[in-house]
Amino acid sequence: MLTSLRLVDFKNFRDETLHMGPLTVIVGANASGKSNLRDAFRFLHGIGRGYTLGEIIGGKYGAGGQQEWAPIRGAVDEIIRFGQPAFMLQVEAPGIHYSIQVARSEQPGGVFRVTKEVLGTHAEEVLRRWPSMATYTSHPGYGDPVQDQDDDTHLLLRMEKTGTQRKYGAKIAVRPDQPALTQIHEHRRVVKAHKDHAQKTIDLLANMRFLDLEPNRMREAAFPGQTRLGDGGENLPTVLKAICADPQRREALAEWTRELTPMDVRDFEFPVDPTTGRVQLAFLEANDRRVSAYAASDGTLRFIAMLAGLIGAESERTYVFEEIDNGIHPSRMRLLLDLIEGQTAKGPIQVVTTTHSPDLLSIISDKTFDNTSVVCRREETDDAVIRRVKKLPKADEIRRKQGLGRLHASGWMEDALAFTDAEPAGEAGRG
Amino acid sequence: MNILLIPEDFRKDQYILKPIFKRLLREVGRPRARIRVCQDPLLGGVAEALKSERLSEIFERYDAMIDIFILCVDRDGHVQRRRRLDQLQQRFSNGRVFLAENAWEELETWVLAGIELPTNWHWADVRAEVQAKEQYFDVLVRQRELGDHPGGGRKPLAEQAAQRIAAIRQKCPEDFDALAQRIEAAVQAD
Repeated sequence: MLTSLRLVDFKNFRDETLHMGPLTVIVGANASGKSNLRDAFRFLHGIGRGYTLGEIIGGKYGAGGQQEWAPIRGAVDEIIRFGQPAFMLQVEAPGIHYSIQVARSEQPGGVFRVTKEVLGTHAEEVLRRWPSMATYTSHPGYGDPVQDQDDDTHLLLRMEKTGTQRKYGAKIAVRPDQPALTQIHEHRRVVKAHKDHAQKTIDLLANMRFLDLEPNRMREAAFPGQTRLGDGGENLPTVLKAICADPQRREALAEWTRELTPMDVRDFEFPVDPTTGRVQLAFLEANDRRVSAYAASDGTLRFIAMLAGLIGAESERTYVFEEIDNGIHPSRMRLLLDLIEGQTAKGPIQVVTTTHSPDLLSIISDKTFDNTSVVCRREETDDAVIRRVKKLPKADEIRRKQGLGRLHASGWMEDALAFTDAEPAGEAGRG
Repeated sequence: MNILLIPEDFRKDQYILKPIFKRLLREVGRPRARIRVCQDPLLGGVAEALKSERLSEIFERYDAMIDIFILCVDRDGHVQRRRRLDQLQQRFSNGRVFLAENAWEELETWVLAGIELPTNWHWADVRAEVQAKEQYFDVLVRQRELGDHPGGGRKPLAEQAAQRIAAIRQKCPEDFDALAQRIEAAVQAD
């Protein structure tokens, strides 16, 4: 599970950290920077998929010319904060510290390249003090020749010293246009333990999902055997069919569907279209009425797709949702939250979501409140800031008396941030 | 310095209050004052804004971070409103700076005081009009075709008016200037 994401000069973030838990909730006004956070997660996911920097930022096309990865939003220059030479992203998870710094060549049409990269098992404070403890690092500290590298065509890495090495660990060179994380397994001088650690980190990043559910895609019949839910909800019939192969999960799915939707769903059916051979989705209600996915409401399908993701996941996975409450009636919000908090509490799922819903915020648990952050733009500089809501003045006390939903609806979080946030160095003056 | 403006209905009033008070604070020596307008959705009229329980909730939320609270409501021709504001000030001024003012007769009058009016309008008539919003402000908005702007034209007109704080103070001595003097005193005491 990811526990933090730090962004330095990434888009409109100067140096901000998002703290994460099993369920992480992000609130903030429109255009405050929430989608830029999603872009940061997508960048990291692109690393996990083994792409080059150009592919992650500019889009990846398969051998047949089809797009398999959409570009990061915005113009090429906009991924780095205005006026800065590079951005840095850093993630932490239990036993994992990974950071990558990316710069763009100053030449016209300049390419992106990795200028600093560190992977370790220890927290940032430890690695800053003892850089040689990193699994690998491009900046092992003064005295090590790798520290002073200035070769644009390669990124030199110092591997962690192993038992047989006397002063330094192995030195390896990787391409700078692709994160070292997905290159080091090719090097024979990298020991298995380090490859395993890199692979664990890759898996963490690769197992992110960015669901942006579109009801019409969920209604479409799916090709038999497709068990991966598309980002828009594609393959919902076959994904549900796979989940329903397990009687326990089939019953859980039906129970949640009954609770979360007005339908009295007893079971699911997966008829095959005789012409195309594709699998359709139908709901069998208690009165034996059969309702096809084509007739189901948008909200019902969104619920069911979320269920499929949350109940169907078998491996560790991080879901990144935008506005999870979209299309959900306030009276059903508690059930949705129960489902997500319950599923994320027992793992292996982690959910990061934005919301504009005071109703949802009014009923989040104390644990989710701990992992709720507000994103806001500084009025003076346009930089985005991220703050844990619990750190705002007397937030927990006021929330218990007045409700987080009301605080959200009144703009209190943004007010508190604007009133209490220290201005960046050099910008303070007599107020 | 952190200042929270509490209007009786933030939806339109925010467009008047923020530019005018930002400029006023600049003129009293606090150009970097952080000014925000309270957007409590439950403040939907003067009756709610004058309720002690509503104000208590706002103070509870903001006490830890605000230097001056300023409540601004319309007078609407109610000469007793000042007395109610005085009661609230007395009740809530313990341990905080809380200034309450009623605009004669509506907040829009402050905007009208700061801009060039049609030559056939007399300021004394505008100042005395209980329904200054309908009788003068809305007419001006229509004349200048600003109705589609944020706040029904309040944003561009208030920004224009904010350039002439001295004129507003001089034309609105009983309310705006009196409030400005109290703000000056609070700033000097800070």
